[in-house]
Amino acid sequence: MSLLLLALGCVNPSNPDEENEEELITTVILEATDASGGVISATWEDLESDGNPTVDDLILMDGVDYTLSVRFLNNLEDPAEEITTEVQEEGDHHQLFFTGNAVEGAATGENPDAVITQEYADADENGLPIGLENNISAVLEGSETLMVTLQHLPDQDGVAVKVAGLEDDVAAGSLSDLPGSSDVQVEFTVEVASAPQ
Amino acid sequence: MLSLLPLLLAQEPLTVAPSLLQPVTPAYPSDAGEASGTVLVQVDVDAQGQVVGVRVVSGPEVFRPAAEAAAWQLQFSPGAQEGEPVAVADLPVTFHFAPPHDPHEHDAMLVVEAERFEHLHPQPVAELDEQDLAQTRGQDLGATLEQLPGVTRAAGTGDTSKPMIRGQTERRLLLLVDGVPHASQKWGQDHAPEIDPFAAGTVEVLMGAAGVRYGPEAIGGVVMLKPPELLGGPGVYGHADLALTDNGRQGYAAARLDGGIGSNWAWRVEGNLRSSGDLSAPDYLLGNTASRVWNAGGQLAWTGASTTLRLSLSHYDQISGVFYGVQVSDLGALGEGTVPTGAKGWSFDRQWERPYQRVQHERVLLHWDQELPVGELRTVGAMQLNHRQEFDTVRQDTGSAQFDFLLQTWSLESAWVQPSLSLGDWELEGEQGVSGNLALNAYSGLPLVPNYASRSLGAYSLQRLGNARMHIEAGLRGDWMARRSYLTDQAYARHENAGTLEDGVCSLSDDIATCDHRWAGLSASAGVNWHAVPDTLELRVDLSRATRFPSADEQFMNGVAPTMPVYALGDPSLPLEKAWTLNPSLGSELGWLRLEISPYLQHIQDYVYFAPVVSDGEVTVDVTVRGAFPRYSYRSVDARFVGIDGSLAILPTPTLELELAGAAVRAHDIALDQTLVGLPGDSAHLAVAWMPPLGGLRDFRVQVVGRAVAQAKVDPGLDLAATPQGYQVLDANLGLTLPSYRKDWRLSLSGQNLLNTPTRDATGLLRYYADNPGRRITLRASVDF
Repeated sequence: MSLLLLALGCVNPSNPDEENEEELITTVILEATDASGGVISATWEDLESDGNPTVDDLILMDGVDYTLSVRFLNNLEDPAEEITTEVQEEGDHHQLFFTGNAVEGAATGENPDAVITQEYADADENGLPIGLENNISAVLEGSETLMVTLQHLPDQDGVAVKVAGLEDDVAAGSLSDLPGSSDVQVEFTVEVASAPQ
Repeated sequence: MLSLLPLLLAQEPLTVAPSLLQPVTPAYPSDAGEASGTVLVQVDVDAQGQVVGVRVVSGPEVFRPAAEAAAWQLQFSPGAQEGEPVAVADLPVTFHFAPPHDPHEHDAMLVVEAERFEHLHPQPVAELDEQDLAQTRGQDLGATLEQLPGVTRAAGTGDTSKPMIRGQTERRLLLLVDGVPHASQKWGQDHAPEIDPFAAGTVEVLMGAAGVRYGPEAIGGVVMLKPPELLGGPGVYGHADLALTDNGRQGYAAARLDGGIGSNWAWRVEGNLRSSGDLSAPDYLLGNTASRVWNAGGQLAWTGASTTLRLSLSHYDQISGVFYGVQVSDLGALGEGTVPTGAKGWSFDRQWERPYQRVQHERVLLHWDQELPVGELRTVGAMQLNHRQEFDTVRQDTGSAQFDFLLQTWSLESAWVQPSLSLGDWELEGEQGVSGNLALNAYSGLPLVPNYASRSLGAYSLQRLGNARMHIEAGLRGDWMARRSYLTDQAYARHENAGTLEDGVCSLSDDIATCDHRWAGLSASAGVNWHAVPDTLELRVDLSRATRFPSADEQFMNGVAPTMPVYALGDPSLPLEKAWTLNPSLGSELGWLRLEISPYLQHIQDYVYFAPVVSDGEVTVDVTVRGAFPRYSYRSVDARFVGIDGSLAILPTPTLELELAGAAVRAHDIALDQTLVGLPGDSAHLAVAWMPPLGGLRDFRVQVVGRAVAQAKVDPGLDLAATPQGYQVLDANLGLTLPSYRKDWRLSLSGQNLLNTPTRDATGLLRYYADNPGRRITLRASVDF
């Protein structure tokens, strides 16, 4: 009857607060770094989490190889909270998948229209990819859509559901073949421009 | 036992009621110790004054056999109508038992009561008594009520459900627990009412609108749970139930202790626990559907010469997992025939993991009945506290809830029941009442629903005029509500982005937006019960207008929760909902045949419709940072509900019962000429029961039930997935009373969906993700001590 005791003090609705903000991801940043250290970034941000984001295009140069890092932030905090570290630390329960017309990679089948290729460049403690670090190459001029999905894969019934080959399952089927739930699922436009002569 | 015809003919007012010729004093049971108690029995008296039927309605088990035996011995002078002797059904007779040595009481006393018109309703009424409730012991309220025609369940993803009557769930279905409207977070599709069916002695279901008497939520019907009668004298008695179910390896245990102190005080303590592991659909396990529900409660009553005071407390506590399969990344994967992703990896356990929900509900009621020099005053005050927590899948090691709702509700209702007034052959009865309500909602968590404080007042008058053949009822009610909602700046920005806020409704200061709304509504009703052929055919018609205020979540919902895996968008500008209902019904009884048919037509102006947003034939999808969610919105439409409920019972021999019952409902958005989503398919069931006398085994009954549900009529493209196919399932029940030393044990074995047929219901949240739980075999035992 602890709740009853609590009720003796009236519930006060006049001061709404928002807890658990640490769970919120408002911002996704793609950072493409070329061999010379030049960084190209694109930001997806939805501070209200209501499906009305602002999104930058990721503009790459044809024929260039990049290291693609993905960062997750909660920009409602001041200073902004870096979520990427948590994903890294819980890498055995997370994996990023890169799908869409823009990409041919681990989680896609053959895609002749792809403007970039992707392969994982990191691993969790079990040697399975996380996807926070990737090697990508701009292979075709054009503008296509890249979907970035951060899948949360906690154990179910005590059994690990992050297992080898999840990206192959997506490639053979779809994202709906993944266990767990998506922590993030956002779309960017990737534009590959012709390299300067 | 459930009446074959739940919608019984009401007793006809007579010119001359049967009068008792020879009182019968029932023997005080030897095992009743020092207890007192009251048993209500209904008797059928033929035109010669002989008792031809006896049914125990309520009362302590220890006194029931003696009361039933005594009732069969009663002798009456016949009732008469226009000078002719007539048979009378359902004559209420009360036996009061007290210990033989009590100087203030006779050994036993009986009272033959005149029926007041307030027990007559122009709407059909179905009732589940203690024995009906015992047949579903261990299941939740939705499953308990499902045995009635016209009642379906809107199930969540696990073992909980909301009752649905004539296509309406909680928002338009008033759930009265011991006379007090249940107050909770009603928005979630996976939120079951926090109500314990074990605490009910009877459940009465009023089909159709009853907004005048019961207020704004009573548009689709009223479910009234009434506790069993308390003991009236010294002594302690108990009742215990046990149920074991194979599906989910579910166990249920319940116990109730009743006692009395002196002749004025009575008390009760009761509690129950249900524990279930993961449920199984016919072809796979439903991962993370384990649950645990426990209830505890008590009552204390004092009865004086003209005053009764009764204090009730109850606590409800539920934890249940949210089915893993709800976490779908691809909306194209929703619908029938799909095996949930990950199903192969799920294994049975009794523990829930994130996402899961925990709900606690406290209820404190004080009833005060006061006889006045003129009439009677019935007052009930209540405080309810509903604490809902939803624990989402999180990245961090945290024990906290991501969604935390605390809803506190204070309510007071007082009704003055006026004395009967004779007007020639007519009697005038009635009641006048006022009610007040204060609701405070405090929420913390990811943006979803706002905090709010709402105040409401209502006042009504209901008058009933009746004679031997006809009973006319008319009523009027006014309701008023003011609500102040408090939005965080983030939630406010969401509504600004969505364009749902009208100018001037909210004011923003210190990062908090304050939004005020006020409504006033008028409800009215008129109804007639006409005994076209006395004792054989009753015709009823009820015409009513009822109003309902939009709830705070319908106005301001903006987000996603584990128990609601869609992006729900409210509309702060929703107007008052107004429902006009025409409900004719027919009841007929010919001894071996009982028939009840109730068609209805309901037009709801500005019906608040919660459904997927469809544009150009495609469901709108909101891609939030948490993924893609189908958008559902609350919007105001003019809707028309048309339907029919009915049952036909045939008793060709005293040992055989056949019952055919069915229900159908259609609902349309009138402007768009589109069907509404989420309504049940047409349903019918055929039950055959055999009750042979079997020597020492009493109440032996074996029943086979075939149930059929048709595919719901929904226009294509309006729901997230194709409407589930219809299905047929087979159920069976076997029950008996096993006499043993001093105690009678009631045992039953029931099987639902015996052939383990895969099913999905158009009203269930699970329909998008997986099949319903499959075959369920339950063994039940109960005993009084």
